[in-house]
Amino acid sequence: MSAPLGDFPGGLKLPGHKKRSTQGPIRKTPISKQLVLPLQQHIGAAAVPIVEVGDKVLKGQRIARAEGHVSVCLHAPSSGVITAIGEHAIPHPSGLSAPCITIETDGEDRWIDRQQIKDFRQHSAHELRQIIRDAGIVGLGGAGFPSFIKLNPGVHHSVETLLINGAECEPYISCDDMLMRERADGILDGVEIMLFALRASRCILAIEDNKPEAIAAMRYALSGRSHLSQTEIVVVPTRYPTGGEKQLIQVVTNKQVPTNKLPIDIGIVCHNPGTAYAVGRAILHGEPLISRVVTVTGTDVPHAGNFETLFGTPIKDLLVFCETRRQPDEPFIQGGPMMGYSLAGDDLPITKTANCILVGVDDVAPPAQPLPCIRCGDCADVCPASLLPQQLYWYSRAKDFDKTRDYNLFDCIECGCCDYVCPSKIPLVSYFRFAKTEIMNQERERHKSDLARQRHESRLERLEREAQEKEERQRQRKAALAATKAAKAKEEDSTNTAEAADSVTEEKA
Amino acid sequence: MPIFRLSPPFLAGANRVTLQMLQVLLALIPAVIAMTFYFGPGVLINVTLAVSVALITEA
Repeated sequence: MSAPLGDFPGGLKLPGHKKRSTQGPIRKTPISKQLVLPLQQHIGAAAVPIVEVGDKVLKGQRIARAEGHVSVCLHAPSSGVITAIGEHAIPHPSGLSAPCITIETDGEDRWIDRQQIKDFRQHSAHELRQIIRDAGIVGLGGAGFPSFIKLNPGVHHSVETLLINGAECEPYISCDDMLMRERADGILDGVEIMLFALRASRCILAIEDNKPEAIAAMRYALSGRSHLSQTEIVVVPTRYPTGGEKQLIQVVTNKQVPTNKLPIDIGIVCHNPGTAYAVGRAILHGEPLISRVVTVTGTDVPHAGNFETLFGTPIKDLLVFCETRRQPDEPFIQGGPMMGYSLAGDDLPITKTANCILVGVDDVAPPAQPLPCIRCGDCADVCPASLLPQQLYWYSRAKDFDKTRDYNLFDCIECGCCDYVCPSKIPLVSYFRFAKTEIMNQERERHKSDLARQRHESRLERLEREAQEKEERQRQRKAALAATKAAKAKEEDSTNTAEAADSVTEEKA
Repeated sequence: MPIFRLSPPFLAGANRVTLQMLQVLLALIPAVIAMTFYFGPGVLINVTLAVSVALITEA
């Protein structure tokens, strides 16, 4: 290891509870009778369906195309018939419905023709990005940002370091851990492609020290690839939220991502190991992103573990498969206990961003009436972004949004550390989310009114110009009319004089 | 059946206001001892008076 590790302020040591789901290998979830695929499983514009109800589709066939730049395609996770295209409940904290494609599977699980690329270096980085986009690959860490965009260094940046974020700092979740243990070679395939697409010189694989098996597996896989000499595995201390992109960069490279900037501005691009694996599958095996590893765990899951699950599989089927002790309609958490959200409802599907389904938490926070803030400052001590949550809370509550911006509200990563330590049990992150959305709404409103004003002003200008032009035209027409009149008069005059002259000559004669 | 809060985080820290205030009281003990040592037992009367007034008005 070259440079000493850096550090970020604050953070928490949380009980991991990961052993529960790492006892057995990754298991395949059986194919459900019905798969429901939301058209928007990523950040950006929703995909547009290119199939009709009644169409037969094969496994891996594209069923929706990307719309606009920030968007990716969607594929059929198994072969079957499209039975519906329309609104369906989606796993979203709001509990709303969204457009989905429903497939009735036929159980044959027949693949479409797969275009495998044996030597990706024969292709341009642009072509590879296009394949990655067509394969529907998004960041599998939880945010779901289209990966092809993050594999494009662009003309203004050069990427020095590709950082694979295997920290997985949230308690309970272990899908990346298990993927690194079992499919280290597949992850490295993806890493090679990513390095090539980004023209990056080195790769750092950061793994928290509570995953010795994953570290050993990745080291072993790496030792078999002599050409990946610029790739190293960095073991980072276990602390929440080390897996936050900006925090991990700070730990691994000792650099800070500036406010309102992206990691690429300091020459770093961060990807999840699951995304790297998916990239490898897409390029080398021609398989689009149709499944992911989901951790199913919690106090009510006796056979917790990691499950390779097709997208669209009803969460209910997955929970039944794990023999969960769950009452019907009992709420569960998607994501981790710190940043996930609680869902209720039985026929929600697994999507690209579903990394963990958590049924029952050990030290669950009961719904409590928050007490007044006593300004103890514990929240500021644990904030990994060095913010002052107590001040932000004060100003968010007072809806003094300018002040919240002065206190760098938008640097908040919503990790929940301040909430966790707050002795008054104030839901600080909820306040911050509220303030953020309010500010964004205001911004949008301002943008809209600016546009309307501009439009109004240019309309007035246009009307005035048109009036002027009309006047000008009228004046010209008048002038022209006058001129022709004058010319006519002159003509008459000249004929008169000519006649007069004629008469004079006649007289002379 | 666990009932969650509406928003994350769903994990509870051990920190409580009562805990914090007990820490404050703990930190005050040496100060009270030192004051009694230097200014005599009258300090204890002051403290008792202050605490009882605080308790009465708080409730």
